[in-house]
Amino acid sequence: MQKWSENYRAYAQKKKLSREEPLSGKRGPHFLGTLLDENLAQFEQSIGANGDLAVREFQIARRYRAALVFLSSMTDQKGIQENILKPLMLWRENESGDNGGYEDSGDSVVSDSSASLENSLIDRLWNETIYINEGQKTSDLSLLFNLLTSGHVLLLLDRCGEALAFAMRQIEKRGIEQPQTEQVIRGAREGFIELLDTNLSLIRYRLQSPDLKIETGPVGQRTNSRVAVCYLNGIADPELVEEAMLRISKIDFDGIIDAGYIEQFIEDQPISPFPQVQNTERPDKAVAALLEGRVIIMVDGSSFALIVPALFDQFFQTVDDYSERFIIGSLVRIIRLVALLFSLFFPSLYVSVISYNPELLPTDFAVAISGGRAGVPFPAVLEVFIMEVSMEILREATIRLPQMIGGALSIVGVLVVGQAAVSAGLASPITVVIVALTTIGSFATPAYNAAIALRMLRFPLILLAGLFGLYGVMIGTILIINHLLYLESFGIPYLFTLVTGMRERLTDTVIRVPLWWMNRRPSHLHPVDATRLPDGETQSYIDGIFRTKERAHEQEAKNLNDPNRPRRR
Amino acid sequence: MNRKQKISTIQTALVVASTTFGVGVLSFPRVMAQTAGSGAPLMTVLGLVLALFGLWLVTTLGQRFRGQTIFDYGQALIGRWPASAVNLILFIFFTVSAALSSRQFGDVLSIVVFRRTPIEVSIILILLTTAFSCRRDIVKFSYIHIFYFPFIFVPYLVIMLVSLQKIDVLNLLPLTGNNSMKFIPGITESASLFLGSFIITILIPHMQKPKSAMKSSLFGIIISGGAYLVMIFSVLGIYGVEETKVLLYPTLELSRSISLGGGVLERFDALFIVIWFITVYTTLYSSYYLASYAFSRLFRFTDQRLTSSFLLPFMLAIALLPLNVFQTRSIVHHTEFTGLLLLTSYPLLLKLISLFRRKGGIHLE
Repeated sequence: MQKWSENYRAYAQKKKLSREEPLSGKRGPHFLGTLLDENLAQFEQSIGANGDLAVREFQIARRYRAALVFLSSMTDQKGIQENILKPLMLWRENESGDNGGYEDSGDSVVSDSSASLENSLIDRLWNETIYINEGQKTSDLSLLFNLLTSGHVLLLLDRCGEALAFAMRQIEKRGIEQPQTEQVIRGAREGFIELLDTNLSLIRYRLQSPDLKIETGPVGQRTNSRVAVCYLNGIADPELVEEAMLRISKIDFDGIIDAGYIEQFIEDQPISPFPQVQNTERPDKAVAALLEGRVIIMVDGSSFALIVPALFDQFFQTVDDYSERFIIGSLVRIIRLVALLFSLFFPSLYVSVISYNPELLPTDFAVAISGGRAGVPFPAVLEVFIMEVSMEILREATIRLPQMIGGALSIVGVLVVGQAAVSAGLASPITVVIVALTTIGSFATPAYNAAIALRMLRFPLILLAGLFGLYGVMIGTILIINHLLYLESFGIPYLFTLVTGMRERLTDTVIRVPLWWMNRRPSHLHPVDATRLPDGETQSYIDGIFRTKERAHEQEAKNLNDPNRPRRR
Repeated sequence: MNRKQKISTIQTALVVASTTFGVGVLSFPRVMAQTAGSGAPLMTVLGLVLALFGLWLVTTLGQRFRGQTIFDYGQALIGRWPASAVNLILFIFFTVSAALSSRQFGDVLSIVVFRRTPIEVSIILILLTTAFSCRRDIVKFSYIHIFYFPFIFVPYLVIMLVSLQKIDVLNLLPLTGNNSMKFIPGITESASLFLGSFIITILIPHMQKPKSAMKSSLFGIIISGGAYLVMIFSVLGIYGVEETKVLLYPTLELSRSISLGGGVLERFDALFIVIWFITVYTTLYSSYYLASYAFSRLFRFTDQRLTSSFLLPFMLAIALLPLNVFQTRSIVHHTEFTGLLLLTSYPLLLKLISLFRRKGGIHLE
């Protein structure tokens, strides 16, 4: 079980070494020198003395020269004062007896024995004085540079080849707010923020299990962004975890600014409008995904977590489907699916029926439509196309504007322009209705990236409808569906739950059954432990529906006392 | 992730069903009425039995030679060169039959929907759509069939159920047909409907349980055969034998005569053609896939990606060869007959040889 992570670490380590060879060569020697002044000069030369690099020189026990090196922008200044500087300056060497004999010989001792003295001093300082939880001792200069830039405080001693690094990172962060892109009616109001540690804590406190494993490592040659891979040991498929790790460790880009960067490097099929990795701002959603056996990827500096693998049906499911009553949740899902189909097919079907097969409509309605289209100068394709494009422009404009203006703009755009277009004879009223339904339909999809993929695909469909009518729409649909059937997300077919997998299809795809019915994790994720609920429990809940109340209580009591009651392994 | 995906038994059955339920749907009742009169339903059943025999041969052979298709184990049985020759003939047959399917499709389209559009356009469109999707492995191939399965069968069943009330039982009698029944053409016509079931040979190596391949091919044939049977019952029951003979596309006429949803869909035929498009697509897809697969086997390419694109111009050329609908019909007729002969006799030969050589003591597995 441990094997893949070792593999990955060795892989990442090897890659890192081979890459850093030329860089560290530029920076001079590999290891720390013994003279404090030379070392400090090296740091100042590499980082730049007049930036945020702070060097604080002082003396320990009034005779050992020492210096603290840190980046003032990333460290906790007060903590340094209280927990490092203060104890170091107050430290007295003679508190422990065995070093007393060396007191006089200080300056005249030959250099190698003195160096060993300083080395033992550094251990003693770490053991006796410093009030920091996390720290490490090293003499590797490139590692020290990395530690320094990630917010560690370095303690350098004169005539000592090693340095101590303390974790004193403190970054300004915003508060935890409600996620903007995934609003729910019933569910947690917490969203991820940009800081990885906070995000991990948001997941950790929801999933208080030692099985939750978090693997972090730097990605990005220049940014060295921390990327965390989270999974539940004993649930997530080891092959899946390994694959995710491998794909991440292969990334050799200069900077990872957002989780979206990672997404583009790890997805299966880049040439596709459909997202193959799900992103979320919600910790509860991430935890639910972990419990299903999926893998979460997070990047420092991005408030989005990536969920892999992501299948098509995940994109129209939300968290409150699961917390609401199951009947309502299922109905809402069906409505979302209908809305999704609306947003894709409505305009093209309208165009093809109007221009090729008006006989499909009831006669009165067909007459009404053609009456409405009487003054419109364009063919139906062009009319719908123009209106759809202007709707997309309006949508894009309202996203970029501040919220206050955005609301006003959408009212002006939709109501005024729509009404004016009809009365000016640019579009027929029914076209405006169609366009409005399409747009509303696409906003009903919870996942923005999936919704926009389908929304954009309706344009080729409109063109095909204008050229070949219903037959063209059918060709376009077949091409889209075949593409969806071809896609994979981490080796799992994108439409898996719709094509195969009878149980998934029935329990948690378009409809959602009660939670106690989902007694197994999705089998396409190949979970190690597939059991969510002990085997007999589901049946007992089903039985409970049909039992009378008094008997139910008796039965329950008997069940609880029964030693043979099936339990979770 | 190297977990190999496999096809389950039910999925294989669905692929066989949606492959065999194909282009012939529109004209099939007319052809049967012409050859068998009111004995058409019975003749369909007989054809089904004949088709099942061929399918049984192919399936048992595929089960014997685990992980191989007929293109591979043919070489093991009758030698490399003879088998290559037969493979070439098979390849030509599938190419021609795919091309003719697209041609029939184009004919229907230019008669019913696009009266002024040149037939080339509709043929090119469907061939392109198919060629795009041929660049897939067999598991994805089966997924496509499985996904479209309900869209193929449910609309037909709805049409048949709606039209059931109009059936006059008298039209169906006598069940055994009149004296004018032509037995051999009738049985070949109905058996050739199920030629597509040959697809099972490339499915068996990818099945989860190759042992149940027989079950799935049986199910598949029964599903599509049942649909054909229901269809011929309702068409003959409504129109009677003599009228069916003169209708070019009886099933389409049937769909014209019904209306759904209290007049919201006043005329069903435009929608029916669209649904029929999927039916044609899945059938064409199977024969195109088989053709490009045979081609790639012939020249020992690793997969059929390249060959599927390479075949496209040839398909188009063959599809445009017939001058009119009547010529197409007679060519299709001859091709189907040849195909039936080929696809039954070759597996039979292989089966006999494998049985014989097994007795001779050569262990082939």
